[in-house]
Amino acid sequence: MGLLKKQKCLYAVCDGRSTKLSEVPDEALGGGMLGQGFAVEPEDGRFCSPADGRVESVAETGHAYTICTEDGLDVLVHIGVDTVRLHGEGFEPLVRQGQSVRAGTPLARVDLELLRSRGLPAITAVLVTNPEKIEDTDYRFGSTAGGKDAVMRFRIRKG
Amino acid sequence: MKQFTYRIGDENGMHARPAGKLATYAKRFVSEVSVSANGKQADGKRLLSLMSLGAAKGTALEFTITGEDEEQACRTLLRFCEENLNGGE
Repeated sequence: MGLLKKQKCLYAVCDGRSTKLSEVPDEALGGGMLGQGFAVEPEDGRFCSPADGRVESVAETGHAYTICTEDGLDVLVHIGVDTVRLHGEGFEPLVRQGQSVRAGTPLARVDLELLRSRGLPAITAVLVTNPEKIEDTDYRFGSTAGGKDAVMRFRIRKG
Repeated sequence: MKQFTYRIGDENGMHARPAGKLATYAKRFVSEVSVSANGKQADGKRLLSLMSLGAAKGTALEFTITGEDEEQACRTLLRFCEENLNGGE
C-alpha cells in the first residue's frame, strides 16, 4: 500500500451527454486512430478545458484545441465533425497558444445552431493523443456538466 | 539524415486529422522525425506538436528524418504528404 498511483481524470468539456468515443462519426476521431478518450454531445455552446495544463495550439478555425497537462498528457479537444470546413464561422476562441488553463477554463464559444444548420455533427471528441502514458482507464458516461463532471479516470504509467 | 520539403496544398492546412495521421505514420519508425514550418520546429511523432505549427495552406513543411530507418521513413512520409496534404481530390 502507499504505492498506489494517484487517479487522474479528464472532465467534460461542455454541458451535455458524455458517450463512448466511437459515437463520433469520423474514422480518425471516433475510430481511436488519434488516441484514447471520450465524446460529448453538447447541449450548450460553451466549451472548457478538460484538465489543468497549457494550451499548445488553437486551430486558426477555432474548432480544435490542444492542451498539454501537468502530467505530460497531450489532450485534443475537437469540436464537432468536419467543422474545419466552416473556416472559423460560428467559433469564438477564448484562449490563446501558451496560456495556462485549469479544468473548466472557457476555451471557446460555439454556435451549435449554425453547425446543425450546416448539417455538421456537434459531437465533440476529447482525446489523449499519447495514450501510452496512461493505464487503468475507466469512464463514466451520461449527463455531464462542463468542467465539473469527470468522464475519464486513469493513472499515469510510470517510466 | 534525410530531408524533404512539402508545400501544403490542402485548403484546411495541417488540421487535427492529418496531423494525427502523420504522427501515427511517423511513430512506426525508430528514426527521429522533425517538421519545421513558420520558424517553429515540431516533433513529427506528436499530434500536439504538429498542430502547434499552425501550418495553413501554402506553408512549406521541412521534414528532417534521422535514424537507422530514415530511407524508408522518408519515402513513407513523402507519400503520406502527397496523399493527405495536397488538397487535390
